[in-house]
Amino acid sequence: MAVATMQHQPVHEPVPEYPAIKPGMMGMYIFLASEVMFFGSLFAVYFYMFGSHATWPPTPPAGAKEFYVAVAPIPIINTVVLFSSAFTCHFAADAIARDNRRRFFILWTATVLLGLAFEFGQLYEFISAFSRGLNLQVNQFASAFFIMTGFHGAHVLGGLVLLTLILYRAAKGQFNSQHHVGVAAVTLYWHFVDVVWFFLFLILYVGVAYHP
Amino acid sequence: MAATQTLPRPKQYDDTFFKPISIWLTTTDHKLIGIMYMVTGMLSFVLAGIFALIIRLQLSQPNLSVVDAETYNQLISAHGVTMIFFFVTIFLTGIANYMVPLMIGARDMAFPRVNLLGFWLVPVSILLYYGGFLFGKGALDAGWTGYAPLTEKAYQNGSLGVDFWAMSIIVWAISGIMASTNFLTTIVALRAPGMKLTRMPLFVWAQSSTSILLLIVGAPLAAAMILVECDRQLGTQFFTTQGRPVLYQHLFWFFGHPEVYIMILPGFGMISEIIPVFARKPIFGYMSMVAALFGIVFLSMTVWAHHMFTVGMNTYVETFFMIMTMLIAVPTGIKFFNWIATAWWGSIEFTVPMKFAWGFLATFLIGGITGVYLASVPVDTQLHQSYYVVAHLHYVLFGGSVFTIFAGVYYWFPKITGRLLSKRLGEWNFWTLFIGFNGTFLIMHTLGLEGMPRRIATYTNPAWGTTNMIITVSSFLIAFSVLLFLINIVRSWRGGEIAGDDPWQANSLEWATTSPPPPYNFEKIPPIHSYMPLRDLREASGQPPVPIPALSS
Ligand code: HEM
Ligand SMILES: [Cu+2]
Repeated sequence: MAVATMQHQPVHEPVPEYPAIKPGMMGMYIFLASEVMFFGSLFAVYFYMFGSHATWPPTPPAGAKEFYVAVAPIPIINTVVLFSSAFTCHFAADAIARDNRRRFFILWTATVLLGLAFEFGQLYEFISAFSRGLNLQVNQFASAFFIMTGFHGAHVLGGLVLLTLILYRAAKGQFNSQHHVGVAAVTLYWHFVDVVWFFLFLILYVGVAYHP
Repeated sequence: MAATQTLPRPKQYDDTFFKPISIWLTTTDHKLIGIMYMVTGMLSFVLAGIFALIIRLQLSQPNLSVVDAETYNQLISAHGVTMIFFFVTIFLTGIANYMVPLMIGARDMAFPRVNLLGFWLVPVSILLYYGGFLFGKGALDAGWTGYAPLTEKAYQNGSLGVDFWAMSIIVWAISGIMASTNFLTTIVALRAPGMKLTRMPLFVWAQSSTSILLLIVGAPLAAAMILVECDRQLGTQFFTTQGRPVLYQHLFWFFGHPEVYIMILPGFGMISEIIPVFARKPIFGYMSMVAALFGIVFLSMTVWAHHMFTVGMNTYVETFFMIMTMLIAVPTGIKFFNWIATAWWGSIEFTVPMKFAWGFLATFLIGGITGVYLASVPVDTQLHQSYYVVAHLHYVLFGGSVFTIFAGVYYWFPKITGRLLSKRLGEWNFWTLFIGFNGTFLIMHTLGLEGMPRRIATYTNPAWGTTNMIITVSSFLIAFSVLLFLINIVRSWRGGEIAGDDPWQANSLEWATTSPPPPYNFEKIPPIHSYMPLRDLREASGQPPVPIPALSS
């Protein structure tokens, strides 16, 4: 049909400045705003409960030693792992923007592996917590702790799926210095997941271990 | 009715609605998706309306038992959930889906496939909710707000209705977030050359503010539902009696109050389109209209606890929320005065969309005023959970949102179908609705002041019998009116008068293309030098205005 030609009809108007940012990227920014609100709500729930308890976290059941989560060793290692993945991810995206495909593949794969390592670390932490009786039901701190870190973990998992998808598309040669909105958008998402972890680590781990 | 002789339909669009199902399932055309949203919304409207009629039969006299108390609770919950989540919000999303790309001169939404997925999540959400009736041993029975701990396991007697509801709302929120992301990206990135932000039609501005709101509060709603589910299925203690039930109310109303604006702002946008067109004047105070929208967006997120004045909050907190709530009447008032100033000294044509617009102004004003009364803490302490609140919320939601939906349908139906709605049926539709609506809800204020509580299955006070009977009779007049509306839609779609591209002599871009528009929307986008490109064109051409068709709406 004539559709194709019609779409490219010249328009007699000065060409306006279009937003420099691509729709795909903008969509990710806008979507992340709602993700900020999601984790923001969970933090709000946490602080509401923190503020309405005399002792926080509530006193552990009698006789339980080292009941709540510690900062070391796994959580701190996990933090380092996830933050390094932010760098690998960033420089991978940077590489594809310069058409350096080899570098992109190495760094992007490293990101996936680091993400996986983080997930296994979290899994280990959860299992050992359950084994010492710290589970979702014991008290409100535990409920919030598992739900917040759990949803973060789920977001990392989602990120891993996206990262792998990008790897697959890159293997098919779909990205280069001109076309890499997908890479950039997933990188943005991955950074977001990182930032959330920063606050979780600060509040749920450091805050609980070292608060006065 | 005599006017609806069957006229031939323009050949190339003969198949507007009756397309093969495979096209409906897989289309990424924002116009078809918009129609699917609207049809889904309309079906929900009818369903929830039937529930309302049953509720009214039950309440028509004291001590009746048309339905038992448990069924009654499930019915009011289903009525509220269906009207708010599945009708008003969904129908408005449909109108915007259809109109926003056209109004900004785009070929489609920014993410057409996300659009399709987002739409199909809506029927999934609806079916999930109604799954509660079929498989849940009873649907949600705690009202549309689903307050904890009523929804917790301890109070639910083995019913899974709450789970179906929570799942349904989570899916709904995800769909809403997808739609909002799509709208905002479309509006920012896909405007036609010359369509500066300050040249966007006010409906597009209204949709941007709505999308921003839903984007911000959709996730907290999902979070609330997820935590309810965790409490029920994983044994966490967020909102249980050992937990913090009031926290649920905070989360819910942080969504809930902005949601009422999500349901009214697109309506404000439609009124801002309709009044200038039929008063034949530019909108008064374009920039202040935009500013008021964003004032409302901001304020609506700072008022949620006015729904919670009786839970025992700190007095200073209550005062804060009271003042913020009253402040919201300011931007709303600005919009009101601008609409009136637009019509002032205009050459008003009282077409059916214009009648609905004025019906909206009259009823919404009453709802806004009762809202300010309720915002006052001492007054609300008396009136909370009474029929006064029911009257308030229906004046803003029915008299507000639903009237604007009717106005919008009468206004845009010619664009969507290429045919005009019958004016005669439209007039009947308007007057029966206006009278039925006020008959139903005006005297509810009195009932509330006399102390009749809301959400009760029956009452014993014989003195309330007559009032309730009047309400029930009026509610059937509303049902009759909606029936007229549906008949009008079906008859006009099949054989209404041909509308032409621009039957109203309107201002915005959607009228620059054919009715219905081709799949690619525009053959040629007219130059855009102001927010009224079509009016500019008409004035430049120097031709005398074509009169509005007299017989059809
Ligand atoms: C001037 C603007 C408004 C003010 C000051 C206002 C104020 C209030 C207040 C204080 C309440 C709580 C009453 C109570 O439960 O005791 C309330 C309830 C309600 N309002 Fe408004 N309101 C306004 C506009 C709106 C609009 C525009 C809508 C919807 C389109 C709306 C929908 C509702 C609903 C649905 C409820 C009842 C919620 C429930 O408990 O089920 N309001 N309003
Ligand atoms: Cu409110």
